[in-house]
Amino acid sequence: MLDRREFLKISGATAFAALFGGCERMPQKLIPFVIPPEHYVLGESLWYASACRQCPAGCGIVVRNSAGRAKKIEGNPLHPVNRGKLCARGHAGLQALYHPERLGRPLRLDGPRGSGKFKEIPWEEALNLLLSGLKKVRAEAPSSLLMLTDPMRGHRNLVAARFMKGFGSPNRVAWDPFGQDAQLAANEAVYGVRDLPEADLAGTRYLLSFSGDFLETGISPVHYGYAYGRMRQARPTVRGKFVHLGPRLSMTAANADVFLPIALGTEGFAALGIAHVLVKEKLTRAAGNASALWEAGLKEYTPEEVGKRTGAVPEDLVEVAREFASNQPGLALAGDGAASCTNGVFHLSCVALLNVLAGNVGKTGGISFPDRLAPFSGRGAEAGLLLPPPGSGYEDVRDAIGKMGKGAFRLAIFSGDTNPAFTLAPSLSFREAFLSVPMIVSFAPFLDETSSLSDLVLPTPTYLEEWWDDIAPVGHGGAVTFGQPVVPPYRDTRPMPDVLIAAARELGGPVASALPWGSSRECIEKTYAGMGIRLEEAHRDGGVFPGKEAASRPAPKAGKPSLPQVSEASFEGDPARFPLLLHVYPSISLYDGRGANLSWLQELPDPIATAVWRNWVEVNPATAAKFGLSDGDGVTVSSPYGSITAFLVLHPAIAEGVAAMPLGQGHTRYGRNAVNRGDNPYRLLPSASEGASRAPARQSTRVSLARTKLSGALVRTVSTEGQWLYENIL
Amino acid sequence: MAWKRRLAVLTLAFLPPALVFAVAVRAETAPQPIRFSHKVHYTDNRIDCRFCHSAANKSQYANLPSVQKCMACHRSVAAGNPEVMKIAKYWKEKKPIPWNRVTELPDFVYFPHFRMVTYGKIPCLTCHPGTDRVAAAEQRQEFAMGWCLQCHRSRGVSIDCWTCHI
Amino acid sequence: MKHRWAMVIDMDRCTGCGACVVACVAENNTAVVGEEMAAQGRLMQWIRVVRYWRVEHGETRAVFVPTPCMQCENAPCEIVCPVYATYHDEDDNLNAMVYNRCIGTRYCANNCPYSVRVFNWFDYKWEKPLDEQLNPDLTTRSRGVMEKCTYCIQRIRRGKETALKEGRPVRDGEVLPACAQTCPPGAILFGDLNDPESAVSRIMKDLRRFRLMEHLGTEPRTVYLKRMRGPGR
Repeated sequence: MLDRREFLKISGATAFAALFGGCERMPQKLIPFVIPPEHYVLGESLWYASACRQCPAGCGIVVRNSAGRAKKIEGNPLHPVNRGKLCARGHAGLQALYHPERLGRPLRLDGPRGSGKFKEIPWEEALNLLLSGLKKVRAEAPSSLLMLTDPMRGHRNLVAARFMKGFGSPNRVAWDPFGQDAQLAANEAVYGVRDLPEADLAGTRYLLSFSGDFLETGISPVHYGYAYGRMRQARPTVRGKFVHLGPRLSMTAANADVFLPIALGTEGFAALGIAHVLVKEKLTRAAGNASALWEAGLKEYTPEEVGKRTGAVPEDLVEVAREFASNQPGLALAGDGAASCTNGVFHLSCVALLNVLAGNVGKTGGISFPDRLAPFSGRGAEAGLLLPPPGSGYEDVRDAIGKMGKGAFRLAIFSGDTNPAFTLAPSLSFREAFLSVPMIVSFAPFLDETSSLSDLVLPTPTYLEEWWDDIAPVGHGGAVTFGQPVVPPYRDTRPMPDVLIAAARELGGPVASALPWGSSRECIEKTYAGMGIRLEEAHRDGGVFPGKEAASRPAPKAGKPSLPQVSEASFEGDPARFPLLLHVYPSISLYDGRGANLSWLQELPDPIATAVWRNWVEVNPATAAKFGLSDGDGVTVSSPYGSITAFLVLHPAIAEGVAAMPLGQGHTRYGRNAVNRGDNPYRLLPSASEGASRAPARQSTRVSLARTKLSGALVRTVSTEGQWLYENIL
Repeated sequence: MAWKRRLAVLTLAFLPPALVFAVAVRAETAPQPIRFSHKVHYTDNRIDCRFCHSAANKSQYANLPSVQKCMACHRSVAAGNPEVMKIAKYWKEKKPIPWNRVTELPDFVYFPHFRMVTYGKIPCLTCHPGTDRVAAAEQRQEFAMGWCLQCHRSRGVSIDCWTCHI
Repeated sequence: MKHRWAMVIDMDRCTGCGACVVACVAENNTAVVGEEMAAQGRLMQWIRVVRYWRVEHGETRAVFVPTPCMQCENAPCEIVCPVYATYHDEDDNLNAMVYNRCIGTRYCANNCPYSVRVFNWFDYKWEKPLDEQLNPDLTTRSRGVMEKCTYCIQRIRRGKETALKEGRPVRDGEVLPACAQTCPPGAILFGDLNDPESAVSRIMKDLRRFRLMEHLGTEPRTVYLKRMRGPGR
């Protein structure tokens, strides 16, 4: 393995340049190796197994390396999460690797703070700056060090956590705007397990989705996409039925057999209505105290009552309940649209209650809770660092912002895989608070809204150029994924764990003994050495795949369900001034905004709006008519917190009184592909958090629309008029 | 790719195909960093082409030998030769040898060496004539499409466009 | 051994996610054209996922139709090309596009009922170092040249060469275009119709089978399986 790697270093700059390219002449130099790697033949590709980090799903990948260049990413067929499949974002990782605007040298601020003006400095100088900053902070007040990162897993998290502990600062914050806090809280309340469940889509006969987003941007879209295909057509006589309830016909909803539109933020009530029918008609299984639920208040949620609250047709709810009960095993799932309401835990608990009532827990085709930490039991308390709970960290972020304002931090270390200056609500004033920290050091491959606030930017490699390890949040079946460099580091970059380890060594004392490794690679080797993993084989295969699911944990509360605490979704703003509810959803191609600098993703048409390169707002034609707006108009979308502009798209299958916007566009700093692509809808959002889990509540504001003049037009790729009517292609 | 525009115009003007598809043969190749002689290796010492161009039978590209391979022999053979000493210098400095390209095939042609060598049993010198006789390698055969087709036809090999142009 | 490659797109599995589009772009050196060009309908993607709005029982539904080249057996594009730049190749029985023959009349795109051909209106550039990613197995196309889905002929060729080196016929499922390889729900199936045992040969008998604009008589080799709808409303 090592030998094979060596050639990459040598071939890096000059080996046979690829034999094509625009109208340039062919390369006139042919430069063979000094020492060829074993079995290397020019013209034959090598495929390196690694892992994807374009979103937190943790898919396994194989990357085609031809003459020292990465050419193509495909799914790793051995990997249990994605089974050889890959989504659009996974493919576009190559564009991040070879991005013209990637940082290749450390940058030092060269202008006012926050200006984004930097000059390149050598690594030595940059590391000295970091070290002197750390030394000063440690001497004065170690707890004034803040580390703000993306939610890391594996050794990256281990190194970061140990560094902070050894340094003596408790201020470690991990921010993921789409963290699963509500899901974790609901599962703890209903099943008694604070974890994400394994949902066996492939084996289910009836899938009930409440604003589910599992096929596009949920926890693991490729994993569920693969299972969805099998649910539909892999069984000879069974085709799973899929019913979706939600305010908007999303891509996931478009795949449902039946789409039942309901009002924004009423998913929980719809679930209660279905539960009501299940109990009333004695269709429940495995729930002894259904009558207790009934008396606790379920009897009030008659289909008629729920119909009034949600806008659903009562007969539909009755029919869905009967089908759900009679088609076993079934599965009820909820997605971000329900989870990120102010009462998200209520919604998700009610949906979980349906699984309990229908007896779907612990079954094939239902949900189960494998013991994810079982493979790491030997690591003791540190097992939790390798696979931390997938929360959003919103409470910590708000807390840290409050402390920043009070001058509690003297040095902030920031990891650029997350972008809080872009994804946090404006009323939190993250930018101002962050800039009040006297020194900010970023580890980032690109300059985005947050990393450009730094005093010092240390360029990191992309995930295709470093050694790392990962444990996927769902679908991993006890697998540990290993990432390896598939090409030599393309720029002069250093991974954050390596810099932290080196810094710890220089600092000495407890932080040095907390990180007793020479490099992050050694850390991975030592971490997994005790687990009987043969790393060389693991790197070749892309991970260790036990092939057998980890033993399932029982769901202790599932036998005795209680009625979730009923709470209403609240929306900021005066309904008279702001008549529409705002529904925001992560873009399938740009996710939380991190894909916006990759042109392949910008040019991938949105599945529903078919728009490229720009932002839009969707409303029902009837709603648009009320405002006197028509398709393609420029509009100002105003909430109590801000106003932005976008083009209007008429969406024929969205609840009336709702305006929906995809998140991800509207960057002010993230390179040429990302800036000037419309406005950022995060700027409309209040800073509200979900009532019980403290996750960010994005579905919590009202907006108004007003026509405005915008230059240009929204580009949509599909014109399905005229000959392109669906009927005509048949 | 400027060639395509040129090609388009010429085709419409019904010029003879040989002219249209001709690829300029370089009058002279830039001097190589080492005065390597194919004649000495192949003709005088009877070393098989594939000893150095080791992947010609299995890859699209014939491959050039690494410095390591040169040194495998030249550590002892002709070690005092001034040109060989240049190789030794590259080896000592662990630097690759920046050879200049001799043979040029347009980038719109898919030419897998292994198909010719392994399955066509075409001797190397058919397409690289004279290489056995000269001190410095040079391209003596125009890789024009008519010339390719002549051979394809005589051997009953496909002359379908997609065979070579994808 | 002659092949008759065919693609089956199962609309009951397709989720509309667009993974096939980006996989194709990555595999086939397809240019990114930018917003202005896209506005003029000049996107270069070889496969697109068309979203149709369809009203069923008074409700509006979305239907996704992934549309690559249909590889028609009676291809309308071929008969109008004045320079034989698009023709049926003899070994794979595919609708081939030869870039270095193409003179850019665009007659073929005009005659294609499926609008799957795309034209290089300009020399699209790969900003350095993005060009490092380009697939060495096929060329980039220049201004004035038509291009379209080839069923990933370079991948077919790689599969055939591997089989040749191992002295055996190509196995069913060994050769996959980039879109079929990546499709998360497995909606795209690919194989050889000349092999009666291949998965595509067997699925050709499926009752859900249909072809786009079948009445035109183009005999497309890309076949669809109809979306099903569960019982109930």
